[in-house]
Amino acid sequence: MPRVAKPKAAAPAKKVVSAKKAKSKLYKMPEKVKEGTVFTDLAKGQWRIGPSIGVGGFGEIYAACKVGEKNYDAVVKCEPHGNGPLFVEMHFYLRNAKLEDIKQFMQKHGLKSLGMPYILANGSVEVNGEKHRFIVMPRYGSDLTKFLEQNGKRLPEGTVYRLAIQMLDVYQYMHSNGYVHADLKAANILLGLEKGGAAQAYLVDFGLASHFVTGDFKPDPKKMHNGTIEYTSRDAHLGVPTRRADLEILGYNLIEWLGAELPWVTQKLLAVPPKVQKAKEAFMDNIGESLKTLFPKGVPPPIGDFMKYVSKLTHNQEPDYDKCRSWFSSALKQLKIPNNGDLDFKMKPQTSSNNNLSPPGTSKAATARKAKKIDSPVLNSSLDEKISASEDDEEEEEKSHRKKTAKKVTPSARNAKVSPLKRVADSSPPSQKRVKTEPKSTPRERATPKASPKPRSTPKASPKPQTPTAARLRTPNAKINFSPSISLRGRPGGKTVINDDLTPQPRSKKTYEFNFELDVSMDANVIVNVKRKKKADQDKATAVDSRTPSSRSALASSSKEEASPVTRVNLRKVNGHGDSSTPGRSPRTPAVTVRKYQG
Amino acid sequence: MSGTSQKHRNFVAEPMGNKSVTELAGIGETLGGRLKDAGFDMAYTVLGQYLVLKKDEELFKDWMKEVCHASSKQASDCYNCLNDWCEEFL
Repeated sequence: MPRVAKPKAAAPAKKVVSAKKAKSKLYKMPEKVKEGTVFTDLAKGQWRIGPSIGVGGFGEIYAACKVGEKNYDAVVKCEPHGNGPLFVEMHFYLRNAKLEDIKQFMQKHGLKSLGMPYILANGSVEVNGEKHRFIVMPRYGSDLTKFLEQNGKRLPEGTVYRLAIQMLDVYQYMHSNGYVHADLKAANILLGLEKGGAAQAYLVDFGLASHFVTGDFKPDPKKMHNGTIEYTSRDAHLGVPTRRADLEILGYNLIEWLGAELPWVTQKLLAVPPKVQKAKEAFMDNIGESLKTLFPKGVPPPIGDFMKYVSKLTHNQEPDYDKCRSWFSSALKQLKIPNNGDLDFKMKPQTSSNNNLSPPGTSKAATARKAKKIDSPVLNSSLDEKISASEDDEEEEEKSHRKKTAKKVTPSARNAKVSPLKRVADSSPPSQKRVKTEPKSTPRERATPKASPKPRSTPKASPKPQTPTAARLRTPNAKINFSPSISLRGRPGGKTVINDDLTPQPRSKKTYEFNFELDVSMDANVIVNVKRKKKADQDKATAVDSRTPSSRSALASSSKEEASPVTRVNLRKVNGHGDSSTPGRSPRTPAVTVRKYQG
Repeated sequence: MSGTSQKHRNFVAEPMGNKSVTELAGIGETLGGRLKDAGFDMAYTVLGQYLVLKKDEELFKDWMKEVCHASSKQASDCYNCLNDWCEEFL
C-alpha cells in the first residue's frame, strides 16, 4: 500500500493512546497556517483558510471556504509533504471518493445518504518554507466522542444500531472499491452539518485505508498492530487488511457504545499490543461466552448475531452486508425506533441497554435526587416510558446478580420499598393514594405495597424521618408516582430516584420498561409490586421481594390470566463498577430495574 | 510562466492510472500517434522515460524532440506536466 517507509515503521504506535507523545516525533507537525491564507489547489481553485477547528493525529484541520464565499463549509487538512497518512488518505479519496461514484452507489442501493465523505480539492502549498500537502473536504459536524462523554461512555441503544447500519453502508461502499477502512472509532465518525445532517453519520479518516487481501493470508510484520489499539482487529494485529477485520472493528465499537468495557481495556493491556492481540483472540474464539460476560444482563441480539457472524468469516470472504444490516434493523423495529430522522444522542435511562457496568445518567440521577430532597416525599415525575421488546434472558441476569452481589462489601442499612405497579392499557379508574402526574386514561398503575420491607440491621437510617408527609402511609415511605404506571415508595433513609425521562407514549399490549434508581444501601430490601389491570378492578398483583444482599434479582411470577400476557419483573441492582471502592460512582446508587414482559 | 492549461491541471490533479499519452499536456493527436508508434502508448510509459532520464529537463526535452519531433513548447509543457505530477504524487 502507498505507505511510505517511515510511516510504516511508525504505524503500530501511531494511534495508541499511550503513545501520543511518541507520535509527534514520528511525524512532523505542520506549521501553523494563519487565518485568511489562501491555498490554491491543483485545479487552481482557491480556498481561504478559516479558524483551526481541530488537530488530528498528525496535522491541523482548518475550516475553509472558497474564496469569495463566507460560510466556511469546507475543511482543509494540512500536513507536511513527507507525512504518509494524508498522502494515503488523499489517494483513497481521489480514487474512491468521487462525488459521482458515491451518488451512483447510493442510487444502486437505494440509499438516501451515505456516510462517505468526498474530496473537493487537493494540492500542495508552501507554509513557512516547508512544503505541505492539503486536501479540501466538506465540513461535518461534531464527532461521536462528545456524545459518548456526555452519556458516560455509552450511546442510546437505538442510535448504536442505526450507526451500525450506516457504517455497514460505508463499509460496503469502500469494500466494493477494494479498500478497507481499518480505523473505525467514535472519533472518526462525524455527524453531518447541513440541515438534516444529524441523521447521517460520516466515517472519516482514511489514513489507514488500504486494499484488502484477496489471496493468501500472509501476516506482515511491518504492519502489525496497525490501527487504534482498543478496536483494531485480530487480522490487523497480524498486519493483514481484510474485510472481516473492518466488521470486527465495528463490532468492538458497538460493544463499547452499548456501555460495556472491552476486556483488554479493563485489563489495561493497551500498552502492549501483543497482549491485546491475545486477549482479542481469546475473546473472539469463544464469542458467545465472551459477550455473555460483557453483557451480564443479556447480550443484545443483533450484537450477538453480528459478532458470531464476524467470527465465522474467512479472511477473503465478502461479508453479507444485507444480513448484518437486517439484524440491526430488526432490533430497531423491536425498539420501535425509526431508522430515519436525526440520530438521537440523548441517553434515556432504559433498561434494555444490557449492561450494568455503568449506571445510566448519573448526573441526571443526582439532580433528580436533589430535587427529591426538596419536595420530598412526593415526587411527581412524568415518566417517559421506554417501550422495548428486549429479549434478555433471565437466567443470565440472575447469574450476573449473583456475581455482583458476591462482591458486595458493606451492608449499610437502608431499606427501600418499591412498588411499581403497572397496568397495561384498558381505562381504569385512577387509584386512590396516589398523585397522578398524567391523568390519562391509558395505562396507569397503582401502588399496592404487598409486602412490607424487612429492615435488615437498619438502626442508622430508618429512624430518620426525612419525609414527614409520608408518615401517614403504613410505612414512612417516600412515595413517588409517575405515569403511566410506576409508583415508588422509599423508606426515609433511602432515597429513591426515578429517572424521569423515560418516555414514549404508552401503548396497550406492549412491553414497558421502567428504569429507576434507588439510593439505597448495598443490602436494601427491594420490593416490587406489579399490578396489571386487564379489566377494571381485576387486578393482578405480583409481589417481588428481593431480600438482599445475596439475591438481587427477583422474578415475579404473576398469577396468570388466560389469554393475557404474562407479567414478569426483573429486579436488578446496578452497581457503579461492581467495585464499591471506586470513589467516582456512588456505591449507593444502585439501579433497580423493573421489567414487565409480555409473554 | 503564464499559468497552466486546463489539460495540465486535469492531469496533475489525480493519479494517472491508465491514462493515454494524449492526456499529457503538450501532447495531442499527432504527437500521441508518434509516441504510440514508438511504443509509448500510456502516460505512465512516458513517465517512465522521464524518470529514467532522472527528471532532467534538458535530457527529457531532447528525448521528446527526438522521438516524436515535438516543438520546444510541446516538450516543455509535457515536462512541466510530469514534473508537477511527480511533485504531487511521487
